Amino acid sequence: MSAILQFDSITFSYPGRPKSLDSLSFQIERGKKVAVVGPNGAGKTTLLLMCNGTLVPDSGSVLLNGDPVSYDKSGLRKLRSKVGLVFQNSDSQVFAPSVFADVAFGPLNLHLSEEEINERVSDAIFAVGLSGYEKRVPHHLSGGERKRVAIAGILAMKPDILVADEPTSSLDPATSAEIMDLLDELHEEGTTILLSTHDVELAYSWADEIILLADGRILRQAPPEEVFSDRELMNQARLTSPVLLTLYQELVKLGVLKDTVPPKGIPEMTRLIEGSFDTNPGTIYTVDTDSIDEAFLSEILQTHKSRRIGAMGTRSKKFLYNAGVSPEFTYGVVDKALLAAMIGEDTIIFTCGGMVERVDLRVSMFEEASAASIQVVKLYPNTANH
Amino acid sequence: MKKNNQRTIFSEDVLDDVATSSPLRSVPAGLKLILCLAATVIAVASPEIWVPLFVGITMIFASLVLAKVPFRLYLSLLTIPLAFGLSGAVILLFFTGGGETLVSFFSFCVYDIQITTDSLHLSLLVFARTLGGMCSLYFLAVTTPMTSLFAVFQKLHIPQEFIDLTMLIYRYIFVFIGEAIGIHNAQVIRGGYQGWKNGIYAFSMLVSMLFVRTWERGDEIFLSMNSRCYDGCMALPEESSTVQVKSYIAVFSYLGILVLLFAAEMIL
Repeated sequence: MSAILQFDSITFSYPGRPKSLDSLSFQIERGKKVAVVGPNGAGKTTLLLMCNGTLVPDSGSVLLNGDPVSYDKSGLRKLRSKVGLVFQNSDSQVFAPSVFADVAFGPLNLHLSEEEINERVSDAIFAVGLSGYEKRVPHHLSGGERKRVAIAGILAMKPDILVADEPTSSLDPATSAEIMDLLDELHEEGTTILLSTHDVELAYSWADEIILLADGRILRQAPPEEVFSDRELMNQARLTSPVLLTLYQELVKLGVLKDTVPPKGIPEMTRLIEGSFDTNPGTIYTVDTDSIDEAFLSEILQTHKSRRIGAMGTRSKKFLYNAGVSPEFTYGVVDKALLAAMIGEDTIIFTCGGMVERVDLRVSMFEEASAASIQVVKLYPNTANH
Repeated sequence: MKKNNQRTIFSEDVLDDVATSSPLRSVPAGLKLILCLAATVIAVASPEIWVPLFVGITMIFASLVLAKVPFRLYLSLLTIPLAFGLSGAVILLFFTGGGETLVSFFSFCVYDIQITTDSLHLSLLVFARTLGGMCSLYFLAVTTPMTSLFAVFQKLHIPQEFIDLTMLIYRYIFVFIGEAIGIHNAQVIRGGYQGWKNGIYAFSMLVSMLFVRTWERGDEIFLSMNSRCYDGCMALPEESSTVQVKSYIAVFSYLGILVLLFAAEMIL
């Protein structure tokens, strides 16, 4: 894999202050989901502002796709069209008087044609699930909606890497989960994502890789279970381990659980504790809403009477909404389906595009970690009666 | 203390809300702007009270009946300019002269405090003009959200920089009202605004804090604009309006009547 963004011994300090970043080196590979985790004042925001050239390092260099960033006007334009930065405070990011005007801001300044601008804007607004909100004024939106507008504004610029500063801070849990699902969806479509957070739970379950930052230095760059298992490291960084991981470690110490792969989510944990299934596990059905119509939808609902329904992805949610079906699971869908499967219940997950494969991937990850087997059946228009 | 749930002009975005949900929102903003400006100019230019009074009454009618603005809200909106207009009119009534004396009160040094025919006419005229002008301005304000005026500004070839600034200012009015309310609440719960002196002190803190916040927010906006490759372009809000022949006919026949009345006043 190639590094999309690379920091090479970056040192930076704000005027008259001690060093904010101290000879920082790391690289982010294309297609990864990376979380920068650290306590308040660790230098997370400084690091992110360095990614799009807002701050210029005192020494060291930032490399985009292997080329050092140049800080002249055209170099910065190039960098900023590739690296999209979503600020923590969406009030300062969403500055235009309407949703449309705000999302169109980036493409307009990239001097695209009017057609292309309109297409990108409507695509971006659609992708964040705010179709129909184009004319709304930002002060009539909720915090979560404003965050979506901020993300749409960046999406419309089609960046290679999306950098988000504390994307879920000051959002309620369900909205946070939806924003994280949205980021997953974007990731599925090929965007590399780098976000900063001090929410270890979120970082643990979401990220492929953690960059642990404290006092302007990288303590560790590794997969989440490795970083968060290290108690000493966590203390040093003034963070707590994720509850799930701590619980697992304690249960291993007590000899209740075997020392195997630490559980990534609730389903793995449940499976670990339970040991084996008493009941027959339920089946997870997946449906690609892009390839079906409403007639097939009602056919599915007719055939599978006792089942739970989950919806993943904006297009699928919209599809179900238009068909008047309200899904039970709208966020954390696969995990909830796995939990349902373990108590013998079936779930139909309506999803679309590359996310269909993500269900398979998540389930096989679960199967690997817990040596269970759960059937995933994809429903096509001609297999509905199986 | 007034009841909090009462909607007055002091609640942060009530005027904008009324305009956004106005039944006349879809009428082209340019047309409403022409109506407002033309009616105001005719009302203010009129030498007699009849045209401005006519404009005022018809505009009140249009705002309350056609645009369905709640009566209490409209009244509270109208209170401020009318109070100014009324006090101006009262002063003019006593301190200008000319024509025959109607009522004479007393003499003060060389000034006679009295009401004359001319002073009565002038004060009534000023009051009527205020009413006419304000009512037509309010008609625009309650039917046209700010966002739909930006495109009209551009058509009028107002400099783009000016429009961009207006859009940013418009957006952040609401953000800063929110900030001000936040600071104010934080002060009140810790005993701010108790007593006159304390009140002045607390208010000065609020204003200075708001200034600092504004400054910081300005920095943040600049950062975020640059992060999206700011190059001097800002998109205008998308506005769709339904062009109805009916509304054009209504506006221009109304303006026609005003011009006729105006001409009649000038001749008579």
